[in-house]
Amino acid sequence: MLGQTMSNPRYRVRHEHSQRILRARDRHVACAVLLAIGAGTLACCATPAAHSKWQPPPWSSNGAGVVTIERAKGAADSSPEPETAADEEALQLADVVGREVMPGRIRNDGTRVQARYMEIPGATAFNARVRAILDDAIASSNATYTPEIFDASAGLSDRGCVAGVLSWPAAQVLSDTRTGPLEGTGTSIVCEIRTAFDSVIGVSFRTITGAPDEVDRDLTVTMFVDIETNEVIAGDELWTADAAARFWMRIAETARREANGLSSAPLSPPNAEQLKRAKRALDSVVYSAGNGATLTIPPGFSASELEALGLEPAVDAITATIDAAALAEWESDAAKSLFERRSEPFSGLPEWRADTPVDCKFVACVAVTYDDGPSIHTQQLLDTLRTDHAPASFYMLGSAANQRPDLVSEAAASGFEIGSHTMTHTDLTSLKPQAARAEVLDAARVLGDITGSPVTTYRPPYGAVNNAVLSAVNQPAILWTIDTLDWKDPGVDELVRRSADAAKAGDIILFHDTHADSVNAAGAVMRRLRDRGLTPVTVSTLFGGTVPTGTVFGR
Amino acid sequence: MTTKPEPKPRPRVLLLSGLLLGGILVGYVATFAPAHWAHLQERTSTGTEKFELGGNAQVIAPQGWHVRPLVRELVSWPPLPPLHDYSAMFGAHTGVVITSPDGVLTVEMHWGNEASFESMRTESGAPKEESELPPPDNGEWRTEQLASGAALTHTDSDTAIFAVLRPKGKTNDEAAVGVLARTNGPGIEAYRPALSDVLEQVSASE
Repeated sequence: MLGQTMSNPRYRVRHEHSQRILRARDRHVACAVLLAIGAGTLACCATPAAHSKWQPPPWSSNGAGVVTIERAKGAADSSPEPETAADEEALQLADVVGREVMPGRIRNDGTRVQARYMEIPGATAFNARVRAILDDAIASSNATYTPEIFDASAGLSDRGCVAGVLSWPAAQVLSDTRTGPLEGTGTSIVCEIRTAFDSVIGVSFRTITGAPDEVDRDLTVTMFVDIETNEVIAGDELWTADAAARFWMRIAETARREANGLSSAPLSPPNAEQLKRAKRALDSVVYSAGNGATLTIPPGFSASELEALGLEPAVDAITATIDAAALAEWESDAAKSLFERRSEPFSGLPEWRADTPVDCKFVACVAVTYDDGPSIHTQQLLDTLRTDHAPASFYMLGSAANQRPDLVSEAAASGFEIGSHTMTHTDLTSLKPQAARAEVLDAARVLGDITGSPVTTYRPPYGAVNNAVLSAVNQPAILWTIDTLDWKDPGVDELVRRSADAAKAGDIILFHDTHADSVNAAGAVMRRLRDRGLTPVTVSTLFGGTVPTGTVFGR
Repeated sequence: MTTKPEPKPRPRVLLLSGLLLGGILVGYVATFAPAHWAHLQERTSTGTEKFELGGNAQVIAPQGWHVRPLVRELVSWPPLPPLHDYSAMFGAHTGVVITSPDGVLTVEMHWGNEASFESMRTESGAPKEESELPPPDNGEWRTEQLASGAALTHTDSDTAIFAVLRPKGKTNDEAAVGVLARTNGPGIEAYRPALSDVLEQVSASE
């Protein structure tokens, strides 16, 4: 049957046609199934559209602003720091503040203290705090303090703050001869000007105690003084009552995130030891140009939550940089009021004066005096002394003063001490008492009329004085302990040797500003005195403002 | 002329097609279907709904995040597609996958034990169990207590975090919630706060 069917040509054609149709249908069905599977697969694999504008949230902060932390290098690293941007800023600040500060330096081997500090003319409250820092360091040595002097090679005329010293490793401060105590063991006090704006100066004082291989203490305190109001803000006064705790929590939170902590559980508050560290960090504040600040947390920072994250107590100091927003949360109202003026340019310091008080029980003082002027050389002498910020005392002749009253005024205006040297340079012991009195007091009157201030001391010509003269004049007769014999014109170098190399604390040195070499030697004399650790002062300052009666040779 | 009968070849074609289709379907169900089914279940979280992780543990996904059931790989036999756990298709709590709204961060979470966390651990590149590591001060494993009271142990890389979370009240259990968080390219650092929020929302009922 099938064979008969297939032998029929017309059937064969229809059969083949049907086969083609069936194969086509099968293909269509198969395609449809595959398409359905493919569509279903695509549909199932499709994901909801991503929300491209969504941003992952940041960590919820426990305070305003940004705080970043950096682990400091260890104390064992004593390699000197290269000059950095911080050093440049410090140098620029020193230029802004100018030379009118009073740079100080004490090297005292007996107590193993070297201090480089600064005082500000007229800022008595600030200067008192500086003195307190120095006294604390000396007291902690448990040794008796007596001002010490050295030979000129000590180089102690390099005084005052050191730009960049706050960033030096502690070991370097101790071991550097410019800043360190005897043999690097003891106490160093250094300072750096941190800011100057409007009438405000900020100065940091750093006290380091120990030895280069074992630093026991490294504490920095920053003080701000308003030189117009004599108000000082420092230490705790800069911060709110809870600033230390809040600062600590902020640092701990930052450390937790940096250690890949995922917990949002509140951190435990700091214990007493950690709170103490936080307070020391606040004391170390260094304000930056961008209205933020840097604080240094002493080694040992830790928290139980951090230890669970694998962070052991920090063996090194941690530097925390905080921005203005974070700082504003912790500053006291007094600090905010002070720093409101931060954008104002620095108003400057008063001009230097020779009669600025100096404590001659604390530093080794020497009084340099000049007789017989004013002369043709006196202007040069005044210029030199003002440039070097070197106090001196002038015993002037009344007759010379009448001829050059402008020099008398100029000397008095800069605070140089002026005393009478008589009207005509007569040996007072050769005169009757009344005449001797007139010689001295007439000159004093001339000088007083020119300067507007009474003249209350005198130097007898040739040093000649007796009881009759003393009684008649009734003023302290200022003599000397070192006579340079400059009237013999021995030369500049010899004058320096006879005066500065020979001087000791309490001496009064005699020069005459009528001799060119004496005037030419002035700068070198003052420098040599300071290199040895001596501080030039006026005669009155030598005696604490109250000159003894009778004949006065020295302190 | 008489009508001739239809040719026999069509039933065989249909039979072969059916067998082929059946094979494809069986293979599909065993390999791709669980994942495709999971994708079909994906929805956007309201921020209040609890999602089961197994073992009485749940998580509340943040609002706007996408949540779908977790389908784990049971057998891997390259080059063939892996065999997936299809029990989720029948109501088992096999865990969840939570995806951030921007699609970058995915967080897989399920209740289980160390053996069941093996694939997660391997995928994250994490080292072996905490007990086999050197002491924690090598910085690789971290232990914390979350604000929820749960104990979290985790190890982190640039794009993935593998963690074991023991909810409050179950800190002594051997079983816990295994967590694998990873990003699809960007570093995971920016997503750590968001991940923290998710982890804090894990809890266990009594």
